[in-house]
Amino acid sequence: MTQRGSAGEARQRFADAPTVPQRPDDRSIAFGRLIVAVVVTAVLTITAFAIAVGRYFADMQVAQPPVEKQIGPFTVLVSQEVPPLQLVLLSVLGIAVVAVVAVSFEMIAALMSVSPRRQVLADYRGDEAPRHLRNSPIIEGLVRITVLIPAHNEETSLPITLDALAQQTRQPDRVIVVADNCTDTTADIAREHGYEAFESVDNIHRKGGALNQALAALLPTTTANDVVMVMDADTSLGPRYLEVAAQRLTADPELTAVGGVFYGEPGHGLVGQFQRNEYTRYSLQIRARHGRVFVLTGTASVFRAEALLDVAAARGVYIPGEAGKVYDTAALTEDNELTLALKSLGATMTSPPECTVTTEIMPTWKNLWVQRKRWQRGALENLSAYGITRATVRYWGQQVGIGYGAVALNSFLILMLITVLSVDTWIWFPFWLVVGAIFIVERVVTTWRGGWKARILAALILPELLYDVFLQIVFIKCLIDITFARRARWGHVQHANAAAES
Amino acid sequence: MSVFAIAIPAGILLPQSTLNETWFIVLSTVVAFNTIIYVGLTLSKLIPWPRQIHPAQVRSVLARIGFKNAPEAAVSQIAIPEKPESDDPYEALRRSVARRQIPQAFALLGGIVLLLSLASWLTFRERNLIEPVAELALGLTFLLIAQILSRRGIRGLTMRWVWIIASLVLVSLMFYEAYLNQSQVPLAYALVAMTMYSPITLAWRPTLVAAALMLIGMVVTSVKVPGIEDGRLVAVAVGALLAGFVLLQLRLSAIDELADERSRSHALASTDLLTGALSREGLLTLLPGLAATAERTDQSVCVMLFDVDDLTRANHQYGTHYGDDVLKAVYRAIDTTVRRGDLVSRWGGDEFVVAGLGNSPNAAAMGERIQNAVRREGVGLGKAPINVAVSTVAGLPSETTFDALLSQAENSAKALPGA
Repeated sequence: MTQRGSAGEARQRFADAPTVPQRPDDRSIAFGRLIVAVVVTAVLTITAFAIAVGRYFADMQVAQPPVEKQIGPFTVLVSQEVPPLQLVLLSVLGIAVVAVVAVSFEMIAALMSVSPRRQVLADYRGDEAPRHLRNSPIIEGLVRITVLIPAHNEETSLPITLDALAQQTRQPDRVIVVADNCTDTTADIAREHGYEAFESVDNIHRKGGALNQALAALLPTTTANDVVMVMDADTSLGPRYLEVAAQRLTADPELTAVGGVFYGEPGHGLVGQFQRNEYTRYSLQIRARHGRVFVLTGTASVFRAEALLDVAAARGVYIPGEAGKVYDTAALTEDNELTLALKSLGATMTSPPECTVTTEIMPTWKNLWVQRKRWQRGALENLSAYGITRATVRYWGQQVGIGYGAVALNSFLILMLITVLSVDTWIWFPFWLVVGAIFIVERVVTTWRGGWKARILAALILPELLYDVFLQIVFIKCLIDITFARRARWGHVQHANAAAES
Repeated sequence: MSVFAIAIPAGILLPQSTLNETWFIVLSTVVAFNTIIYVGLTLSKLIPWPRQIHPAQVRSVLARIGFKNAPEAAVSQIAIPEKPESDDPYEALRRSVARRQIPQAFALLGGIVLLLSLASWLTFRERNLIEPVAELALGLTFLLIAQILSRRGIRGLTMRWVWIIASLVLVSLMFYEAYLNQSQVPLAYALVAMTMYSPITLAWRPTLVAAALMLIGMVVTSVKVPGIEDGRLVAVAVGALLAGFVLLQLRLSAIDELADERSRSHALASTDLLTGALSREGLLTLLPGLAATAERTDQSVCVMLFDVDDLTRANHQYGTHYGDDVLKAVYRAIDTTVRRGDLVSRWGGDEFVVAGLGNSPNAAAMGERIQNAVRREGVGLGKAPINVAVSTVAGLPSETTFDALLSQAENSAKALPGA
C-alpha cells in the first residue's frame, strides 16, 4: 500500500495558488492571550493578597531567642517560635475558601450532568432520523464494544498490542485498526490477526483526522448499545479493563464514558521514575475521588457511540470545532479537548481503578519537555477555545492553582536558599520540622505502590520539588509562547530509539 | 546537611543581617502562610470524597424544589445566525468592527489597569495594601467582561453601550477617588480615559452622550477638589474629549474606505469566499475558454447542477455556522468526485454548478457518489441527513448555449421526485 507523500500531505497541483504566508488566526490568538491574562491576573491577585497578609503579620513577629540543646554528639540551637495565632486562623480561612471552591465545582458538575443539550440535538434530528432509540435512555442488554486503534507505521508495536488485547477477560466485539498514512504493513498485520483495517484517505490531521474518518463511517451504523473504545497502538491494557468498563456502562445507562487510569512503563532511570511517581499519585487521586476524572486519557478510553455522535452534531453549535468532527483536529491535545466537549454536553464519566493502562514514558528530559509543553499548551488553548463555562470553570481553577503553586513553591525555595546562604548558625524550628515531616509522609505514602525506588525518591523531597519546578517552567514557557503567538510543535518519540535503549 | 551548617561561620554569601531585613521577614511570613495552607490541603486528602453524584439524584432534587430543567432552556444557546446588523454597508462594517474590537479593548484595558496598579504599588510603598488587591480585581473584572463579550453572540450595538457604561464607571471611579483623597492625580488618569474611549465606540451618538456626562462630572469634581476651582481642568477635559473625537473621526473614515474597497473587491472576486469554489463570475469568465477547447477537440460540454436540500432548515435549527460547514463539505465532496479539470462553482446560496468537457455522466450514479463523499466528510454526523440533488446535461457548444444547458438541468432537477 503506498500513499501520497510520507506525511500524507495532499499533493500540490500544478495550478494551485502559490503558498502565501498566512496571518495566524486572529481570534484564537486573542483568546489565547485572554486566558494568559486571566490566569496571570488571578495569580497576581492572590499573590498580592498573600503579600498584604505577610506585611500585616511581619510586625507581629516576636523574635524568641533560640535555646541550645544537646542531641547526641551535636549541640544544636532550637527555637520554640510558632507563627502568630491570627496567621494560622487566616490560613485555615484560606483552606476553607479552597474547600468551598472545590465543593461548588462539584455542584456545578452535578448540575451540568442534567444539561438538556443532548436532548435538544436529538429532537432536531427529526422523524427521519434512524436513531430513534436516543429518546429512551434506558438500554437493555449488554453493551457491544468496538475498539478503534489508530496506528501510524506501528508494525513493531501493533502485534504486541493486539496480542495483549486478546488476553482481555472480556473480548471486544469488533476491532478496527485505523491505519493512518502508513508506509509499512500495519494494515496487513491487523488483517493477519483477524481484525478489520480501515485506511484513512488524504488525511492531513494526524491521529484525530484518521479517527474522524473512521468514526464517520462507523457511527451511523451503531445503535444505542454500542460503545467505542479508542486506544493507542503502543499501550497495554490491564487484563480486566474491558470487563469492568462494560460492567459500568451496562449498570448505569447514563454513564457516558469510562477512562483509563494510567501507569508508567518501567525503565529510563531517574527521569522515568519522576514520571512514574507522578502517574502513581495521579491514579491514587482519581481513586480517592471515586473516579472523578479530569481527562479521559487518549491512550485508552471507552465512549458511548451516541455521545460521540452528539459531539459531532454539537460542534459549531454548542462547542467549538467543525460540524461533524468528533475530534477537533485544531487541538494540540485531542483527548483533553474531547473531555471538555463531552462535559459541555453534560456527560458523566468515571475511571474505575481496575481500568489500568500502561503508557509510554518519555526517555529523556528533552522529550519530556516537548511532551509536557504540548500537554500544557493544549490544555490552555482548549480552555481558551471554550471560554469560562460551567463545564470548564473547574479547569480554569486548576490552571490558576498551577500558577499560584509556581509562586508558592519558588518563594519557598528562594527563602531557603537565602537562609542557607546567610545564617551564621543553623536554628531548628520544631514547628516547621513537624510541617516538613507531614509533607515527607504524604510524598512517600502516595507513591507507596510504586515500589522501593519510588519511595526513596519521594522521601528525598528536594528532587521532586525540583521536578515540580521543571513542570512550572514548562507552564510559564507556555504562557509566554501563547502570548507571543509562537507556533506549537508536536513531539513524538521515535519508537525505534525507545526500543534500542530499553 | 543542615547539621553540618553549624560549623560554617558567618554566612556563606550573604550577611546574617539579611535575615532581619523587612523584606525578608515579609517573604518568610508569606511562605509561612502558604505553607500552612498547603499543609491543610495535604491533610484534606484524608477526607474521603463522596461518591459521584448521579444525574438521576440531581433530577430528583431539582424536581423536589420545583425547578424544571426543560429542554427549551437550551434552545436559545444555539448560535444565532450572524446577519449584518444594518442595511447601510458602512454602518454594518462599523458595527462588525466594533463587535470584534470592543472585547479586545476590554482585555487591553484590564491589562493596563493591572500594569498601572502593579507599577504604582512597587513605586509607592506606603499605600494601603487593600487598594492594589481591589485594583487587580478591577483589572480581572475587565478581563472577564472581555471573555463574556467575545464568546456570546452579542450584537455590536449592545457591546458599544457596554463599553460606554464601563468607561463612564471607570471615569466616575477616578472622580470619586480624587474627591476622596482630595488629590488631582486621579483626574489625570480620568483625562487619559476621556481621550481614549471614543475611538473604540465607532459611533457618534453614544460618544457624545458619554462626553456630556463626563464633562458634567469634571465640573462637579473641580468644585469639590482644592486647587482647580478656576476650571482649568474643565478646559483640559474639553480638549481631551475633542482629541478623542478627532481619533474617532479618523477611524470612521478609515473603516468607510474599507467598506468601499470591500464592495469593489466583492464585485471582482472570482472565488467564493466561503467554500473556495469559483464564484458565478469566476465560472462565467472561464466558460469561453472551455467552450473553445471543446470545439477544437470536437467534444461536448457537460453541465452538472448540485442542489443541497433543506439547507434553510439546517440553518434554522443549528445556526448559519452549520449551513456554512455543510456547504464547505459538499464543495469538497464535489471537488473530489468530479473529473480533474472540471470547473466547480458556487452558483447560488445552496447550488453548485460544474462545467467540464465530455458527455454528461449518469445523474443517479453521480448522485450516489456525491452522497458517499458527503458521508465520508461526516458533516451531517448526528444530525438530519444531508441530501444533494444532482442533474446532468451535455451539449455541443456549436449547437447550444450554457444558459440553455443550465435551464435544462434545472428543469430536470425539478422533475426529480421529492424536489
